[in-house]
Amino acid sequence: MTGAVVTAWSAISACGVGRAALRAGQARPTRVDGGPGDEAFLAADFVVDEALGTKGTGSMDRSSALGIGVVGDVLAGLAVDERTGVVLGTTSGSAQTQLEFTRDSLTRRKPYFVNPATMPFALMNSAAAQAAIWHKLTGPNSTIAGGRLSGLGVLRYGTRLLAAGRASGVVCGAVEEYSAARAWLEEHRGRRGSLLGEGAAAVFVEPAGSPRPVLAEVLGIETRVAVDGDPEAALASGVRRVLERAAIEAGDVTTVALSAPGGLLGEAERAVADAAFSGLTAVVDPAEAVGDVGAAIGMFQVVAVLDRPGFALVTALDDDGTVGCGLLRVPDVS
Amino acid sequence: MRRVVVTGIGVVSSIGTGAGEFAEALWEGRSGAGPIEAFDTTGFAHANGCEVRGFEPERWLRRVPVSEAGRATQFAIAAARMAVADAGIAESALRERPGVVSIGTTDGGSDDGERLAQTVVRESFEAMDPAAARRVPASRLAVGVARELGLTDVDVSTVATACAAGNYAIGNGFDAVRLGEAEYALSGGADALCRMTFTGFYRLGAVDPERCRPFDKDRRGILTGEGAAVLLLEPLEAARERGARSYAEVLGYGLNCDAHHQVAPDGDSVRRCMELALADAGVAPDEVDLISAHGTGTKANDATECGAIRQVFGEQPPRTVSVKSMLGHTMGAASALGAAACALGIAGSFVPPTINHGETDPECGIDCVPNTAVEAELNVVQNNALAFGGNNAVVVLGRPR
Repeated sequence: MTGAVVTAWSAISACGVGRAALRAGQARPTRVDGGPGDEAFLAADFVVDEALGTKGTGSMDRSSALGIGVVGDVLAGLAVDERTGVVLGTTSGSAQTQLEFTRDSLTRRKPYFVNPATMPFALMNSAAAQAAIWHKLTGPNSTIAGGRLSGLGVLRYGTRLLAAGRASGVVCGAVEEYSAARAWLEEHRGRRGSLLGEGAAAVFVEPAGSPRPVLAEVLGIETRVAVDGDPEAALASGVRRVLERAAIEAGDVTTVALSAPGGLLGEAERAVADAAFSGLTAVVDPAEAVGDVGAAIGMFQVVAVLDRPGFALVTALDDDGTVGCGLLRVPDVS
Repeated sequence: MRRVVVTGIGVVSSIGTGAGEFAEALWEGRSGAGPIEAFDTTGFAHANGCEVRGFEPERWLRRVPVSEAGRATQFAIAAARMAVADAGIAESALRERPGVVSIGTTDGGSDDGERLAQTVVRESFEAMDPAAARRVPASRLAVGVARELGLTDVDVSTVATACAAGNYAIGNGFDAVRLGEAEYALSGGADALCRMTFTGFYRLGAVDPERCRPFDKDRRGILTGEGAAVLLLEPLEAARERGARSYAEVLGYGLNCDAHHQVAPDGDSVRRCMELALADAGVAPDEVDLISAHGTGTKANDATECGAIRQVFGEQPPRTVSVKSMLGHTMGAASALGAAACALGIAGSFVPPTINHGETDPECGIDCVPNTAVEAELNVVQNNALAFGGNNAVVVLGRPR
């Protein structure tokens, strides 16, 4: 038991900006140039200049803009204090910004004729730091580079900050932009998921006892590294442990949200879900609506279960060998 | 809450490999500076850095194929292996208990990323090397450590809070062990020299042409560096039970965010972070015997940081040193190397010097232990870290008792 509860959420994706847009689930892929594929699920409704204005956004990477946007939307209407924190997940930050920085250095007359304003945006902590600057959040501010495990990694890191008394509340989120650079890197890595997408999703997590209505309790998170090359067994062991610790039977789980990494990992994830749970468990796959949003998928899984009362399990697998699951209880408010 | 001690230290650095050699180098005030060879520096008027020379990944990587690990991952793995061996604990004993692997980094696999970018610029996206593409995701650092040591039941996280990441990773591991969520933590930081970071700092006019001279009135900036440090953290009780040596106890840490500016540190926020750390450690400012400063050697950092130190500690602050004078700025590894230096200083009763020092900048106004180490009984030591994005973290270590 982490003792932490989720009391707010938001998301930005190809479905649009905000909760209602994601729940409506109407997304169409957009034509893209320069990547290995010619379509992607872009968050086309999120126009940086319109959402954030033109001041300070000129050199900004899209990941940072998405981070600022989603954190702002989660916190809208909430009172923050000086110990409100932000923790965001990523794969490697903005691959496009990093590529362009190096390209400038290699192609201009002098190798140091680069735009110094873009440098901070090339760092992986840019999205979380920008969200803090934009929304004046002076509490713990951290970035977890967890690939597809980022959702669970961030949630665990954030709940740990709360348990240790280091934050009054934490926006736990994850961000992934679409760019040609990312698409090509993924292609060469042998990616097998659905059409690439970009997006950001985040939840506000605070200690139990908050006066706000509880959307979910975070019961537990378990991760494993499949050092023997068997992610299915490692995930199954994590699932057993998380249920055991919460004293819950597999049959009590009402929803499983998949990370859908595709390929063999995707099959392993399905196999664990099929073996552990009965046909009565609903299986949701948020990537069907938002595409393969990389590091952001975990948070899209978390927000996908928030309107499904009962016990929900979020699973995750990354091709670096990490697997994991998180157990939430969504109260029935009807 | 459990008490947490440092029982193992692993180091890869430009001035020495392993806890023993590193301690010796700190005592001697060795410099890791030299011309950068890691990437082509044609066109830069000057390009000194603190590079790890003669590193042999095959010595440390036994399970993870060398071709699957980028240089920063190799450093992290080597440092973690050394930390475990140094602690005198069997890998099999770690495998039996839940643990944390938490590695901080600024650049992750960016050295591979920029070589791929070079391929794109000179050839095409299609020509990218798939093996290099797989080494780019930063998660590989922490996962690499777990794979290499055969650790399955672990919470792995690569913490990407730029130049303060080492302290963030140590703090995360400390909290997990303190709260009983894990029975050990391998925490630290790792980074490989990378052209992007060098170019960025160079463009900002923040790279010293020759040597890194923190707190000096003539300081001109950082030297970029590379390396890794990993600490094995264990509950005090468990360490006692197995008769382990403890270098230091982790007394507490603090973290906050300036929420102010991307690259300029905010003195008031840095002050606040130190206060949070001292409160967490249950230590009063006058009990601190030594500060291992972030001390990058840039005009802005050193003046701002020392100003914040004087706000917390008064006009006679404890000795304040910068190991970056020897190691350069090793980015995500920096505060992990700093923490390792603090723990070794406590255990060896000495203060590492700030080398390359001529005359202290009156704006800094601290005793930086110029050029020569001194013997001293250290009971409480504070390790500072600041980062772009206003990510601050301060770790407080104490003599084990």
